[in-house]
Amino acid sequence: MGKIKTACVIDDDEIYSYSVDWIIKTNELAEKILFFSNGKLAIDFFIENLNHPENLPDVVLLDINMPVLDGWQFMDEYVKLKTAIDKKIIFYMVSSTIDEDDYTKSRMYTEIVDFIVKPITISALTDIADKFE
Amino acid sequence: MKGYYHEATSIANASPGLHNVTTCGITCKVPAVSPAQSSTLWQQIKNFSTHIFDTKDWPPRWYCGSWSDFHGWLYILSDVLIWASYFAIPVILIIMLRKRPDLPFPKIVWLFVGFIVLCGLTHLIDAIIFWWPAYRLSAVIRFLTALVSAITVYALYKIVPSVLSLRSVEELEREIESRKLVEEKLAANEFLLLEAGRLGKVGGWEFDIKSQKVSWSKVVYDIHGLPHDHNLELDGAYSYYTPPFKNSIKTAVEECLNNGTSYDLELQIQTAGGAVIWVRTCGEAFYDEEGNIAKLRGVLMDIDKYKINEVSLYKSIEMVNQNNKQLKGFTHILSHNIRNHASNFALLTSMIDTSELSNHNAEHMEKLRIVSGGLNKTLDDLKDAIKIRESIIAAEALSIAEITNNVVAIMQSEILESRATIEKDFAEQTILFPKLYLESIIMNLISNAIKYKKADEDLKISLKTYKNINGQIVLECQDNGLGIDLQLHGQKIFGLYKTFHNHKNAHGVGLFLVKTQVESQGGIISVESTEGNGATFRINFN
Repeated sequence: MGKIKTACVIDDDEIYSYSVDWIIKTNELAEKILFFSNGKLAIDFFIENLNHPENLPDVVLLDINMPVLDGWQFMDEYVKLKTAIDKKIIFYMVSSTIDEDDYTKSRMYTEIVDFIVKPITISALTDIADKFE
Repeated sequence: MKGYYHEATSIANASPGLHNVTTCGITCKVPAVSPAQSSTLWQQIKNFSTHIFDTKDWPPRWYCGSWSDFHGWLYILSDVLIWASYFAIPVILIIMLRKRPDLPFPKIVWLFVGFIVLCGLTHLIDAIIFWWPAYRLSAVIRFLTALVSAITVYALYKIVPSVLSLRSVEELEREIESRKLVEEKLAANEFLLLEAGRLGKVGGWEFDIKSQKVSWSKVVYDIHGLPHDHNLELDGAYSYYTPPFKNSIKTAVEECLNNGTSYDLELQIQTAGGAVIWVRTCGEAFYDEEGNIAKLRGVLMDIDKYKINEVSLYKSIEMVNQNNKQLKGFTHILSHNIRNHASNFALLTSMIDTSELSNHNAEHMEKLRIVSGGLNKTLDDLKDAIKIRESIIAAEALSIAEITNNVVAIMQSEILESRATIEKDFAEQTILFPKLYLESIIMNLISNAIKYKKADEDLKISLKTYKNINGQIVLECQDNGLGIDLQLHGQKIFGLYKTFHNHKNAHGVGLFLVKTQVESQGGIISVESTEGNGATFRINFN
C-alpha cells in the first residue's frame, strides 16, 4: 500500500474534512494532512512556503465552491506560483457539482489529474494513495 | 463706244476661232492669237496662274461682238438678279442652321451653301465682264463651282440611304400612338407602385448634393405625418430622428456622402404628430459621369408594427434565457446544498465499522446506508427533472408599502438587534409582481444590508420606488454598510454561494435568489458600491 507524504484538503465543508481526515488517518494513507477552509488560506500558505517545498503537499483535494477564493481562483493563483515551486504537486477536484461546465473547465488545467464527484469513497482515497510508493 | 463694235459684228461672226476672244476679230484691240495660246500646256498653266487678274488679253464684253443696249442690259441685270438670289438662299440656309442645330444632314446643307454661293459668283463675274474682262478669274470661279458641285453630287449620293431611312410623318404618327399606349401602361404601373408603396408604407427620397435639395415621395411625408406640401428646407436634416438614433443616421449619411457606403438601418423617428415609430431607412450613392457622388437616393419604410413584434419577441427570448439561467441556478442549489449533505451522510455511514456495533445497531446502520443511497439516487433523478422543468408564477398588482410593512414586521427582532432604521419613499406605489417574490426580494435586501452592516455604525436603509427615464418602475435599496469591491467581485455578486466577506452568516444565497426572482419576471437588478461606502441595489421592473 502506498503512502502520501503530505496530503492537503481545501474545502469549507467541516463534515467532509472531518471524514477525509478520519479515513486517511485510519487507513494510514498519508504521513501528514493539511486543512484549509478556503482557497485564500491555502494560497497564503503556499506563498509562505515557496522556499520550503518540503512543507508543501504532494496531493491536494480541492473543492470548487468556497468563500473568498473558490477552487478555480485558487488554481489561477497557483498556476502563477507554479514555476517558483520546486515540487510536483498533483490536484484532484472533489466537488458535489453537477455542472458540466465545471467538468470541462477542470480539463484545461494540466495540474488537475482527476475530477471526483462527491461523495468521495474510502476506495477512491486508497487509490490516490496507491499511486505513491 | 458701242457703235464701234456694232460695225465690227459681221467680221467677228465670220471669224473661225475657238475662243470668244478670237470672235472679236481684227477690230479688237488685242491680237487675235496671243503668244500664250501657241505655247506648251505647262507654259499655258504658268501664264494663267500668274495673270489671274490680268485683263489685257480681252476687251470688255460690251466691245466684243455687237450688243444692243437691251440685249446687254437684259444679260447684265438677269445675271445680277441671279447672283443676288443665289446669295440670299445661303444666307437663309445659314440662319436656319443657326436656329435649328438639330436639322438633319447639316454638312450637305453647308455644301449647298458653298455650291450656291459659287454659282452666284459665276453669274456676277459674267455681268462684270461687260466692263472688266477678267476671263481667267471667271475660269477659276467656274472651276471651283464645278468642283463643289461634283462634291455635292457625291455627298448627296452618299446620304441617299440615310434620307430614305428617315421616317415618314405617317410612321412618326404611328410611333407617337404606340408611345402613348406605353405611357398609359407606365402610368398604370406607376399607380400600382404608388399604391403598393402607400399600403406597404414604403417611400423614396432623394438628396441632390449640388443643389442641396431633398425630395420625398408622398409616402415619406405620410410616414412623417406631414402634409405633402410641407417645406422640408425649414427642418434640420435629422430633425425627425429621436436622440439615440440621430448620431447613427448622421454617421451613416456622412459615410455615404464621403465614401459611397450604402446603409440600411432600423431607427426610430418622432412624427409631426409626436408618435415615436420604427422605420427602416436605406440609402445609396449615385455617381455622375466623372465618378463623383452626385445624389443620395433611398427608401424609407414604416416598420413599426413589425419592429414592435420583433422587440417583444426579443424580450421573450431574453426572458427564456434568464429562465434557463435560473434553472441552472437551481441545479447549483441542488448540486451544492442538498448533495453536499447527502454525500457527507453517505461518507459518514461508510466510515462506521458495523462489526463493533450490537446486532440491532448494525441492522439499523445497514438501513441508514440504504436510506443514504436512496437519497443520493433520488437527488440524481431530481437533478435531471429540474433541468427540464420550469415554474411560472403569476404577477399581481401589489402595494409596495404594504409588502414592506409585512416584511419589516416579520424581521422586527433582527432589525431591532442591528439598530437599523428604514426610510421609505415610494413615489410609485403599485408594482406588478408575484407576491412571494417581492416579499422575498425585500426580505433578502434588508437581511443582506443587516448582514453586511458596519460594526461601529448604526445601519440606515433607504427603500425607494420611482419611474426612470424609460418609464420603468425602479425599486432602490441603499445602505451605509460595508459595501462590496465590485472591481474584484462585480461579475459574480449575484452568483450562487458567492460570499465576499468572511462572515459567519454569509451563505451567498440571498442575492442569487433575488436576481433569479427579478429576472424570472423580466426585470433587471444592478448594484453600485465601493468597499467601505455602503451599497445601492436597483431593481428595474419590466
